[in-house]
Amino acid sequence: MNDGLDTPGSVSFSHVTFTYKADAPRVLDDICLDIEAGQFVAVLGANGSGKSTLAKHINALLVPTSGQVTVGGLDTRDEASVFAIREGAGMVFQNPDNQAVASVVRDDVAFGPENLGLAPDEIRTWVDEALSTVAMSDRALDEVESLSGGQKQRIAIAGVLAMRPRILILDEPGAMLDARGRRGITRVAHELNDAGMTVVLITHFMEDALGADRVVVLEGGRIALEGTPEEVFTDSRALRALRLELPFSIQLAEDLRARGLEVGMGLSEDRLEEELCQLLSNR
Amino acid sequence: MPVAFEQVSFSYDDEHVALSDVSLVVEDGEFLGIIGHTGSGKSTLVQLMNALLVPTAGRVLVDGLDTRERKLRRAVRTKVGLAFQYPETQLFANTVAEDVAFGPRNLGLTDDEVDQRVRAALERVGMDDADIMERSPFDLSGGQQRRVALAGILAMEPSVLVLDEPAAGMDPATVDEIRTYLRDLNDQGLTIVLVSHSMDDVAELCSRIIVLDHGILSMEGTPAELFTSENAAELRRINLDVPRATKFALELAQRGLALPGPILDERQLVEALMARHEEARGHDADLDRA
Repeated sequence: MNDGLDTPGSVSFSHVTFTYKADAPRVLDDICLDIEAGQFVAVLGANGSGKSTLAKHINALLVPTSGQVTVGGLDTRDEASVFAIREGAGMVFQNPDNQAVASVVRDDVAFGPENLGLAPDEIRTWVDEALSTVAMSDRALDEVESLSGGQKQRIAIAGVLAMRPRILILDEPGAMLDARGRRGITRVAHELNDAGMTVVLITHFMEDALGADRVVVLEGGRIALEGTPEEVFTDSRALRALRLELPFSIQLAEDLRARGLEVGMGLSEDRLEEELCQLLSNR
Repeated sequence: MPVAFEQVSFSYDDEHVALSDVSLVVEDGEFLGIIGHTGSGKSTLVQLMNALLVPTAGRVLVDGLDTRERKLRRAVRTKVGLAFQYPETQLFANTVAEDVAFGPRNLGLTDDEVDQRVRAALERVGMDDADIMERSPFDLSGGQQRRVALAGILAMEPSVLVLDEPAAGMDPATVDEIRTYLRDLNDQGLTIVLVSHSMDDVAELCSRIIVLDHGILSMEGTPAELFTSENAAELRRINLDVPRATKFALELAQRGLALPGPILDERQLVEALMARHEEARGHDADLDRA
């Protein structure tokens, strides 16, 4: 095994194949993927490409049919390790409405740490910290039901953070949110990553993947494209063949260049706006 | 006039008013968009459209039928088809054809009529392939399942189709397909009411958009009337966005490059930028001549 792939926060997939039933098609097909501690990895792919199945392997909700997944060096098939793995790798799902387990925000976030058997004042500290991280401290005593979808997802993240994991797995957390709600979630994920947490973000929204260290695109259970956002998002033909679209700013730059307006193929909207202003403002 | 709201209010309990004094007419053949932050009353509004909820005050008329009248509710629900979020979770039958046939069969139609409706409904969503019709809905992809669920609603031949976030959780190519068949259905004369978080989708598809804020109908207009620089701040205040191209154009304007509107999609943005580019080149040429 590589250096560093048994350190906490790292994940390694080695020739992982997964089928739900013996004769069913492979949902994951010979996946090899090493994620170092502290990386921000975005996983893209069409519906049915295997993204969620891959995510569920990271916290041992699923285990490989063949091959091996290790999380912080622990084998997910080793039942004695499963509790430690789930403690270290927390997962947030798509639907903000069915992840809450308590009616009041603070109780909901406390559910995980309570199950760790911590002392009450310790639980309170962990919960307060988690709520503060997702900027929801002032809603601690509110009903979960009174929150917006984006706020509920931030609470779901806080519930995971309150367990102090090394790895945060987000499985399409913005699927039911508007663009602003989604941006809020992505921002929290980046702040956590800046503080050293490994983040695996499964998403359909290309914009969400722009800030990642690495982008992995799945197709039919295999890794079809992989690289930095710059590498992956400049391959527009390959992306379209994979039923994905380009991020807005890259699509715009591509269409302008096709019409003869020479803008750079930069990634961020900010840079493109600046360039357009320089090129087109009245001189 | 398929659906008319006359000063409709609705409360789930004594304390919280979910919808307050809403008057609204959904016109025949229109594609109406409803936007609003979570908890703004969108879901309440659509449930009032097919008598799943009835007004606490005021009334809702569907083709002239008052939804408060218990004996009319079945007729109302036949006229207004409602697709909830993730409608594919309600698929249940052994085959696609049987699943779609469930509703029409309950209307007491003959087998031939049911078959006809099933085929027509599946055709409208591009799922009428003989092989697909005999497959289990659970063997289909997520996008196909959603289309089958929608066909089940279309098989009831509603005059209004109400959709709550029909594209949630779908990949970009599937979202594109969903947009295309919704536009086709509307072109064929079906009135559509679309609830969506995607400002790009409502701007592209809808002829008219209404904005809900805390249970009040706060803004209304065509996409070009609604998504203006003047309205952007108000939309942001109630936690709503503008389409991506509109947002990009607004940011350019803030940096001193104002483009003539309306800019609602990427194509319009490209055209406006190219027109500006031509102008700037002409300007440069004039300077050269001088």
